[in-house]
Amino acid sequence: MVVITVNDVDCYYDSAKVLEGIKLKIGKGDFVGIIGTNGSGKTTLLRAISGTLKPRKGTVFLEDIDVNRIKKLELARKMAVVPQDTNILFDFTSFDIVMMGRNPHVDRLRFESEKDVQAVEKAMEFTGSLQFANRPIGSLSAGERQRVSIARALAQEPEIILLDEPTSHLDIGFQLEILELLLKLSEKEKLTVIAVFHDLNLAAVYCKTILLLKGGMVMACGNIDDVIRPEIIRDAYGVNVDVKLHPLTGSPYIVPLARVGSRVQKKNLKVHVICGGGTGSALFKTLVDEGYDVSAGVLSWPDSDYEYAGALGIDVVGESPFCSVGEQSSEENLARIRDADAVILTDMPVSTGNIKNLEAFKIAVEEGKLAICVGQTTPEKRDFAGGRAVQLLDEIYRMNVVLVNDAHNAIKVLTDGARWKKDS
Amino acid sequence: MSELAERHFRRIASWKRTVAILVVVLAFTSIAGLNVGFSQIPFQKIIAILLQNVLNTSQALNMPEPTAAESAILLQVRLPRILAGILVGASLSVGGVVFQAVFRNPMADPYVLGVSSGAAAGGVAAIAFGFGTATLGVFAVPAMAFFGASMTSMLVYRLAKIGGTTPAMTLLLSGIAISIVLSSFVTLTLFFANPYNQLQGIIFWLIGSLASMSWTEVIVATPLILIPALLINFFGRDLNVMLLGEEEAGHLGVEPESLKKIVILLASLAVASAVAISGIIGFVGLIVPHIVRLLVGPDHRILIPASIIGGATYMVAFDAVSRVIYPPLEFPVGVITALAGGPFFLYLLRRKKGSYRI
Repeated sequence: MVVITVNDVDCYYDSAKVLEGIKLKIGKGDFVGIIGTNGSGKTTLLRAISGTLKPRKGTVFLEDIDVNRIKKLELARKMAVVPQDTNILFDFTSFDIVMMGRNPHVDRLRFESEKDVQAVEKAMEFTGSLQFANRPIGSLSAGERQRVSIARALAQEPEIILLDEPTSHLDIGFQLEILELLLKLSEKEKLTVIAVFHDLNLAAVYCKTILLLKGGMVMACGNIDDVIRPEIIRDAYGVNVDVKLHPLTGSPYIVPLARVGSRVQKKNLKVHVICGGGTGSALFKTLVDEGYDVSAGVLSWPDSDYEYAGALGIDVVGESPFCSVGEQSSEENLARIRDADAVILTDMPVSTGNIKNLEAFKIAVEEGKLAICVGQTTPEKRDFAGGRAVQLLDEIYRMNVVLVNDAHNAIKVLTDGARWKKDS
Repeated sequence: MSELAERHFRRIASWKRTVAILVVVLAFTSIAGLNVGFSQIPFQKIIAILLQNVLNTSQALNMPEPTAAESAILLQVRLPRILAGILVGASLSVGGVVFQAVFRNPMADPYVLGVSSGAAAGGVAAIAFGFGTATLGVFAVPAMAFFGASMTSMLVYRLAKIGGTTPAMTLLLSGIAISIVLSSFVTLTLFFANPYNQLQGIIFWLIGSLASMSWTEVIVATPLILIPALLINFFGRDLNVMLLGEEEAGHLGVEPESLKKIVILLASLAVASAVAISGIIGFVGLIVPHIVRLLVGPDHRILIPASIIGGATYMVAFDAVSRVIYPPLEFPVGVITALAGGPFFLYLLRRKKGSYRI
C-alpha cells in the first residue's frame, strides 16, 4: 500500500528553487534513505513530506489526502518528525520532552493517563534514554538529546517517521542500536521510515530504498544495489569510490579513494610496483596522488591490491585466482618494468606462486633501473617458498637497491632519483 | 505502576496543593494589604468589617466595633485597591507567561514589548479625544486599550520575527522602539488635554499606580481580566510544546499560527484591561513567571495558574510596600516595581548559560 506520494513537487525558499520535479512513492513499512551532498535538498524534501513547507508546484499526498490539508493534530497522530537538533527554552526533563510526543493523543482538558506514561517509558527504553528520564534536557549531551528526540517521535506511536540525520551525534554503538530498532519496527509493525543519511554505508545496510538527490532533483532512486554504484556516487559527490560487498552482511559498502579531478601535477614518470596481499594499496594511492604514472603486476584478481589498482585506474597485469604467475603475464610484467623509470618492491609475502615477481624485480635491478624496496617485514617472515625468497632477497639487497621503510620515503627517493636522472 | 509513572502522577497531584497554598498566601497578603496604610486598621476590625459587609453576617463573636470612618476607608478605598492589585498583578503575569512562550524568549513581558504602552495609547485616545465613549460608555477606555495592546503585540511580533524565531535582540529593540513611540504619543496628548479634568488621568497612565481606585473600575475590569486569564489555562500543554519551536510544535499536533493568535489576543485583553485601570506598571510580567518557574517548574499547566495567583500576590505586596515606605506619602507602585524589575531584567540579559538560551 502506498502511504506517501510525492507528485512532481517544486519547492522554493523565497526565490531560490530547492527542489525540482520530485516524484516518489513510498509504501507502508518501507525503509527509505535520502542521500545527497550538502544543500542537495534532503532536509527540504523531509519538510515538504511533513507538510511544514508547502510546495509551490505539485502535491504531497498522505495516502490520498494532500498533507497541507490535513489538520496538524490529525497529521501528528500518523506522522512523527525527528529534527536535526532540538532546542527547548526552560529546563524540562527528558521525560517531559518525550511526554510531549503524547500531545496529539491527549484530550485538551485532560491530563495524561497511565497508557501515555507507558508509551513514553517504552519509547525511552527502546532508545536507551530511560536512565536520564529525570534529568533536565539542557544537561544532556547532543547524542543523548538526539535519543530523547527519537523517543519522543516513537512515543507519538506514528505510522510514518521522518528523521533528519538521526544518528549524526551518536556513537557507533547507538547508531547501530537506533537503526536496528527502526528496522525492526519497519519490518514487524509496518512503520514507514524515511531518513536522511550522510553516512552512505549505514544507509546501505538498513535502507530498502535509496533516493539520491543532486541539486534538488532525483538523481537515482531504487534498490541499494542500483544506487550505491561507483559511477553514480562519483557523479553525485565528486569522489572516486570503491564499492565492495560487506563480507558479513552482504550489503554494499563504500571506500572513498580520491576526489575526482583533484589537481595533481602529472610528473610524467613511470613507476612499476611489485606487490601483493594488500601491501601495495597505500603505496598506489600515494604514488597516484603525487602524479606518477603507475603500473603494477602481477596480481591475482581476488587480491585487494588488484581491486584498488583497478579503482585508482592503475595499469595492472592480472592473473587468474589461485594460479601461479604464468608465462604470458610474466612477460607482460617484464615489458612494463622495462618501460618504467623506477621499480618498487613492497614487503609482500612470497610463495612459489608469485616468486616470478621477485625474479622480475631482480632482473630490473640487474638492468640498472632505479629500484626501491619498501617495508619493514623481514624476508624470513614473508618467505612461504621454502627459503627461496630469502635467498633471492639476499642477492637483491647486495645489489644497487634503495631500502626505505614506508611510502613517504619511497617518494623522496623517487624525487631525488628523478633529479639524478635529469642531471645525467 | 512504575516508578516513573508514580512520580509523574504525584507531580500532577501536587499541582492542586501548590495552587491551594498560593491562594492562602494571597489571602494573607491581601489582609495585610488591608491593614497597612496611613491609618492602620487592626486585623480584628478588618475581619469584622468584612464579615459584616461582604458575608452579611451580624456582629459575631467578641470583635471590637469598627468606627464608621474605618469601615469607609476599608470598603471604599482599600478593598477596591487590593482587588485592583490582584487583577493587575494576575493579568500582567499571565501576559508575561504567554509572551515568553509564544516568542520563545525569556525576556518577553507586556511592558518590555510595548504592549502596555499600546494599551495606554489606546486608553488615552479614549480619554483625551473621546474615541468610542459615545457607544461604549465605561467600556470605551478598556476597549480602546485592548485595541492598542493587541495591535502592538502583533506589530512587534511581525517586526521581531526572523525566520521562525524572535531573537532577543530584534524583539527587545522593536519592543522598546514601539514603546517609546507610543509613550510619546501619550505624552503628546498632555498638551491637548483639559488641565482641569483630564491631565491628571493621563499622567497616571504614564506612571502606573493603584491609588484612587473605585469600585466601578474593579467591576468593569474583573470579567475582562478573569475570563481571558482563565481561558489561557486551557492552552497550557500547547504552550509547552510551542517552546520546542513552531515547526516542531506543528509536528506534535499544535497549529502554531492559530494558537499564537488566540493566546496573544487573550493575553492582550487581560493586559489592556489592567493598563486601563492602573496605567503602565513595568516588569511584573517579566519577574513573576521567572520566580514561579523556580518554585513549580516550567510546565505551563501549573505555571499559568501559579503565575496568576503569584502575580496577584506580588502586586498586592508591592502596593502595600509603596504605601508604607515613606508615610504619609505613597509612591506610585509602578515606580517601585520598575526599581525592582530593572536590575532583574539586566541580570536575565547578561545570563547566557543553561536553558535560558537567547
